[in-house]
Amino acid sequence: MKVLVVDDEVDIQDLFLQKFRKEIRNGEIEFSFATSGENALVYLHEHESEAILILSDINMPGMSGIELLREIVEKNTKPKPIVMMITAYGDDETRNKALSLGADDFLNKPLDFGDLKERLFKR
Amino acid sequence: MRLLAILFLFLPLGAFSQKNEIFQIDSLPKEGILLDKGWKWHAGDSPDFAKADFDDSKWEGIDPTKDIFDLKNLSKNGDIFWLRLPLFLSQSISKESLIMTIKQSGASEIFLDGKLVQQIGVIDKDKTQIKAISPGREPFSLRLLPNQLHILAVRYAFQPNIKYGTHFANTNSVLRVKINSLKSWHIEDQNQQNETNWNIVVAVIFATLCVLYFAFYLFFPSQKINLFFAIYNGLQFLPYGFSGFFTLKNVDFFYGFSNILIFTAVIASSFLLLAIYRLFEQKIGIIFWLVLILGIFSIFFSLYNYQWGWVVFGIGFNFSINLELFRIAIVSFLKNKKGAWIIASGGFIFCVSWILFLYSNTKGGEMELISNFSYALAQIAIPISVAINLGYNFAKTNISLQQKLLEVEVLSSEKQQILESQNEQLDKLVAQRTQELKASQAQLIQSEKLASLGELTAGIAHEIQNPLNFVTNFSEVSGELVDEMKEEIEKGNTTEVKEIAQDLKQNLEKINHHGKRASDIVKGMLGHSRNSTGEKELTDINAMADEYLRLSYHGLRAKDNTFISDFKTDFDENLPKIEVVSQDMGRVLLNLINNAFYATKGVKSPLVEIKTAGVENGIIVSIKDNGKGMSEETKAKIFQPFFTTKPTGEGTGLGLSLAYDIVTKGHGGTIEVESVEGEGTEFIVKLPIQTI
Repeated sequence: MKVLVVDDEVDIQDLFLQKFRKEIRNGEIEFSFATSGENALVYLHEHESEAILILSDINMPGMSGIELLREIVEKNTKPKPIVMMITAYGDDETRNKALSLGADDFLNKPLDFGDLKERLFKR
Repeated sequence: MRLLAILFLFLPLGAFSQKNEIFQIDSLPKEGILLDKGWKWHAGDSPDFAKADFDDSKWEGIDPTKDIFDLKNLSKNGDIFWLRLPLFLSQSISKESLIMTIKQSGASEIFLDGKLVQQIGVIDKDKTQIKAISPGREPFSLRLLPNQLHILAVRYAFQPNIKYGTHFANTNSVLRVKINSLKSWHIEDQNQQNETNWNIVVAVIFATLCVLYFAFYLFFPSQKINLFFAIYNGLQFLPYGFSGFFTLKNVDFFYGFSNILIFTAVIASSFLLLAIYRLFEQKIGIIFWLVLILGIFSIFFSLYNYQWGWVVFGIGFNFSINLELFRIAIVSFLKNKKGAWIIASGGFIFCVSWILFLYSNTKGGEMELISNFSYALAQIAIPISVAINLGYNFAKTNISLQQKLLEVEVLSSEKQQILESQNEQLDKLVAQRTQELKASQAQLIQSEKLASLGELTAGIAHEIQNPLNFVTNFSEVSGELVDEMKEEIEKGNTTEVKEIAQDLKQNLEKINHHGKRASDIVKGMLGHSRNSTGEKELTDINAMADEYLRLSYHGLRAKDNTFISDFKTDFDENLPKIEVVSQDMGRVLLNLINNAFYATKGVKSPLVEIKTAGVENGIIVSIKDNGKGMSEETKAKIFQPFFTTKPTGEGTGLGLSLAYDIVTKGHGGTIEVESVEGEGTEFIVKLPIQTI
């Protein structure tokens, strides 16, 4: 499973690599990272036609997670990537907006990695 | 006006007898004898006509004392004619010296028994050379011998083109020769001198009043009534002045001037009437216009219609004017108009004097003094009463002014007291209000700080949440790593253990880093809420701008999750650190950035850009948005305290005002704004390296 984590906080990368240490080692999951929405779009363009799960923060300088989501949905690439949104503002309105725009799931910060794992492997 | 009287004047006739057309003088009455009978006349010129023995039996009889308009046969255009009168003096008056006075309308040469005794004016065959003279009171001696027949012959011619007055009844006499004793001539002359003196008195009165009224008008032009009185008195001066100061012997000049006086008299009377109307606040009614029309008619009648002119002018116009004046005065008096009784009295005196004058004239010479006096009194009664009224009004005005002045003085002293006590109260009130204002200002500034703190809180919450999440997540994962490490130690997998230990160390560093990060944010928050200590410290403005940009963005985002805006930073990496009061400068940047984000609400592709750059002796920080921009009007007011474009309750209106004070007064810098409506706004803060 290929996962693209989009977050402007660089430290999130180490956290993911450590949390999914075993899974990575076992080859069950593969992580890529982007620090902004723009970088994420570049990565997606380079890895077109690959099945990628996108895990994106919403609040980022420049292109926000919501905008990234909108871009991805509009491009309508095949296969359709799975997009999961993460935010510190866990209010219903943001959640509903993300879901109505086509997000597949919605997670709150701080991340519960146990829960995240479950959800990832369900996919 | 004098002329009117003459209508009623019955000229007294001296005792005389006439036999066989000889004018016989038996006695001399006081008033003398007028030679009005026994005359014969003949057109043509011959030296023989002067001779005593010339036979004039075929000549026609004539009374030359009659008016020239009545003697139509006489040529008025300068043709010479002769008059002859046989005179006989009785023995009884032979001892008296005889004086002859002559009034005439033409020029004459008087012959007594064939000898030329007097030449009055110039008679010439060239008619243009004829000069008519009337000597008036001038005496000529007449040597008549008693009990002897004398022949008085007069060579006579009229000066052509004289406009004789028509308003004088029986005045344009062809020739009035009067014989008097020297004694009675003196008496008569004295009477005439008196008349002249009265004229002078009246003239002086009119002149004085004219000057007086004109002065009143000159120094107080809004009172037009004074101008009217000045005109009236000035015009009235003319007839009295001229007949008082000059003896008009030139016949052409006399009549020319008399005709002008008719005109001026009508104007004068009209102005008097106007003035009286104004004085008693009467409307100019039909009566005024009727009287004025009568006046205009009387001018034409006087010039062209013999015997009617002076009737229309004298009785019609002049008397109507005085009656109307009297009427107005009475009406005003009944209405209790101030001073009307004075004018009414004047009118009454006029009427009484006039009647007295008419009566005294019927009595002839014996009442000459009364006649003159009453005539003058009639003429000046109204002007004098108007003058007295003027004085009366002035006195009234002065008295009322004095009273008003007293009232004003009393009032102003009262007002002064009131004012003083009000001033005292006002001073107290101002002091109290100033105190209150200072208190509320301090409160407002505190509120503004709290408000900006409020704006910060949400941003801080987000900012603090991120590092706390890391602390949580990294400590959690570190726990998992320790478990894993234990397993690997038991397995004896040293390489793996080392790797895990390395990660653990890294994680601890991260926990430490994010802990500190959270701690810094808390410190910053506390710093913001605390009152400024005013201490300056070297500060990295780039870091500060970045920090507050994030705080502001997240703060706004937390408050309103629909808010989305892009932001860009362009920081000068070589920007020198400068000394600022960090809480204060942080507040400035936060305010400017918040405003920039606020301005981009609702615009397409909202963007806030923050730029720093080093300049000579300082730095600049530019905060630019692509928002709504500002009108010139708004731009002019934005640094004023309490000015805000935000809805009520959302802004204190103190943010920019405080920012301005902090930058300029606190740091010696400048803050400028450039804005285009619909395009965006840029705030440029310039700070010197060595701030004050």
